[in-house]
Amino acid sequence: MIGALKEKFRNSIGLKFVAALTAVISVLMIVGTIFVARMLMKGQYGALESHGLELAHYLGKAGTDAIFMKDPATIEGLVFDAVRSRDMLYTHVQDGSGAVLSGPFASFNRENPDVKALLANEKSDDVVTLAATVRKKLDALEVSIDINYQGAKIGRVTMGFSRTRIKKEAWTIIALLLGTSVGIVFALSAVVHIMARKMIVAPAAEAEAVAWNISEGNLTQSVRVRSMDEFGMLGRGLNRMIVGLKTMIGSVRDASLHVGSMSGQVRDISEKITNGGREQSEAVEEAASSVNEMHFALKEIAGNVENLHASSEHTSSAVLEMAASVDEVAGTMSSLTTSIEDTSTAIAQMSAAIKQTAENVEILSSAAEETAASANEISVSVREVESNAKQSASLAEAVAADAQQLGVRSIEKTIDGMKKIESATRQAADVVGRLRGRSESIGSILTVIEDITDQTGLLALNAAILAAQAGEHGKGFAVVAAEIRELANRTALSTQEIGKLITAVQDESREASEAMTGGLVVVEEGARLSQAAGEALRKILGRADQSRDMSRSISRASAEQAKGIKQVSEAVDKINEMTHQIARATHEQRSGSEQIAKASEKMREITRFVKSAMVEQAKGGKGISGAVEEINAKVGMVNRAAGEVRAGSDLVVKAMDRIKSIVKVNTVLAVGLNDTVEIMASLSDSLKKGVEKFKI
Amino acid sequence: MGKEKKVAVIEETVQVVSFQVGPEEYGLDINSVAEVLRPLKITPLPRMPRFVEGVINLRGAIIPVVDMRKRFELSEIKNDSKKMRMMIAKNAVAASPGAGHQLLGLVVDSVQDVITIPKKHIESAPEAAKGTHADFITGMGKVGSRLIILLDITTILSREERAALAEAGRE
Repeated sequence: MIGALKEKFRNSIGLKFVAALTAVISVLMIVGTIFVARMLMKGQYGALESHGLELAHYLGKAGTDAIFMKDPATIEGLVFDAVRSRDMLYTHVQDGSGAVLSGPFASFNRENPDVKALLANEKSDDVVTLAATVRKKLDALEVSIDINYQGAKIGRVTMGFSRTRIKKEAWTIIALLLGTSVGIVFALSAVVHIMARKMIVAPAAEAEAVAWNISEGNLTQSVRVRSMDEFGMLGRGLNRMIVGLKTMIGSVRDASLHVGSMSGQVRDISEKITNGGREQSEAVEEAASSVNEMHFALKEIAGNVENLHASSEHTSSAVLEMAASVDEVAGTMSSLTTSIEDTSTAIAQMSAAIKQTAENVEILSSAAEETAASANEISVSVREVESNAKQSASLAEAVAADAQQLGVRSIEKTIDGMKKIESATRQAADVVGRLRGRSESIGSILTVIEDITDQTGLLALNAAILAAQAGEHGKGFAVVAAEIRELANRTALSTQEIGKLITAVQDESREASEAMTGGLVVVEEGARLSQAAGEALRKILGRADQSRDMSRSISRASAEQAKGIKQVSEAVDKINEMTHQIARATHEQRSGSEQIAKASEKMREITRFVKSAMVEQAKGGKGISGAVEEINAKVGMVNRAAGEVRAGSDLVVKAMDRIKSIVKVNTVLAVGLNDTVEIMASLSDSLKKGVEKFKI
Repeated sequence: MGKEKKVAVIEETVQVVSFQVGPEEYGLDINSVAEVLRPLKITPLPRMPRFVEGVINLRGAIIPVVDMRKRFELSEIKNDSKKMRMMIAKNAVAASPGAGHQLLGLVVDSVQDVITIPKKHIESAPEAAKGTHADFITGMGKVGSRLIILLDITTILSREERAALAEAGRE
């Protein structure tokens, strides 16, 4: 039974949660309950004590007279009434000296069954001893208070209370609290258990089932994902895994199909290879027979080569004869060299003479070159003169153009502008003059207005006087008169202001006309000055034209000069060249011709010797030609044999060609095979990878 | 309360024509002013009394003219001639049979206005200020910050002068 429970506990996460929660809440609840009970009891005891103190106090107050008078009957009555109050076990009153004033019957609450049972066994009549016994046995809470009268202690009231009721109440509260806690624990456990089963156990079980299916190779089922919490994410992960597995297994299946088809192809290729091999062997047999034929032909060739050896001996003797004639030729060649040496000495002499002549000619040519250089320098400076003259001409032209275009035109414009300014200023002066006349006429009008205003004011004053003299009847008229007078005053004021303004205008227009007159003078001065400037410019223009003409003529003259100088230098160059040629020719002719004559005589003798040597050589040549004929015959035979060899070798070549073609086919096939094998290797790789993934 | 207001309304006033001679402002009772004019041509007469400048012809009436500047013994420097006025005063000359309205022309520097002065704002001129020859001052009128010297037209000329004038008129 316990073992089964343990097993269930181990397998259920819900039960684990419940157990942990229950333990924690139970401990917290028990600790809380104990704390509450202690607080409660403390409070209740305090309340009981204060209640007792109050009671004792009142008893003391009520029984002060009786205690003072030592009247036990009254005290007995009071104590008897007091002892019957709730929770009271005993009450006794003592006087100042400690003597008990209440009797043993009245002092104890005999309605309390515990007290009654205790007192029934006691024989003593001493109230204090009895009270001590009760307190000890029943764990009473004792309270005592001194009774004072006029500062002196006259007695003491002592009371004992039972703790039983308070304890009972405290226990009831503890029981209630514990009961409530147990209820809360059960409710929480139930809730946690249900939640765990719904939110953890069920999805976990489903995931587990799906995982079992995957392990068995069934990928059709997937987890139903209801939430986004950790278990939801677990379900999603499983689903993703299933999808991955599906694609992997699909690729593995495809790869295996490919491998099947590939193996078929490989089989075909291998058949083709075997056929090719058979053909190859036939071709090789043919090649072997043609090689045999070739062997026979080669034997014939060997025989012919022996004959060739014999004829080569004849050739060697002829060659010996030829060598002897060659010796003779060598002798003539030595005399030829001596005559050539003579010729070379003559040539050396000739070269020395030529050297001297060359030196003289160099001196002459350097002089001519100097002349040419100085002519060049002159021409360069003349050219500079020409270019400078051209530049100055162009500058003079530019000056003239500037003076024409900018200067004269701007001066003309200036003069025009000055004239316009003059006329505008004259007009402005006229306008200002008219303005002045107008303002003066306004002034005269203003004096008239002033006069009228003055008269109006006066009339109004007189009217006011008359109105005042008319008394009550003239009052209305007086008002009108006053207003007219006011108007007249205002008119007078504004007239004065206008008068001031007019005066200012007159002053200003006078100033303006004066300024205009001054401006006119300045403008006339300006016009005169600009005309003078125009005159000066025209003069400058004339001078610029003159200078341009002069520089043009200079440039023309210098250009002609340069041409002349060029001709001079060319003539000098020609003279130089001619002297060189003349010098060279005379020297060569003089000494060279004699030496050449001597050398030609020697050369004639040498040619005679050469002729005789040539005759001997011809003889040797005949022997050589006979040997050469024999060699020719042998060579013909060799040729024939070689023809046979050629036919055999043709066959060999053909056979070899076929072998080659077959080998080519074989290599192509082998390449195809290789490709196929490579594809198979890659497929097998992918298959291997897929399979490895599946394992993981 | 109503009665008091009525008393205040019926307060006695004096209307004067204010004019200026020199720096001072003077007032003449409105009932003694006939007219204010721009200065007319003054014609001096032979054997005229010395205090009279001459006579003017005002719409046919021959009226003697007195220059107030001379009268008040002020310098004769003329101020703005455009503002110069001639006041024609009534009752200036002593009543005599056949003398008409007894008009007298007064040449003043300028004439300001007709002013109404409550009588309680008029104080009699201090005796010390009057002097012997200035008994024509009847009082000093206060209008705001202005102080107006009130003149009595009937005493502006002395008795001798009036008599001389009356005599001249008769001639």
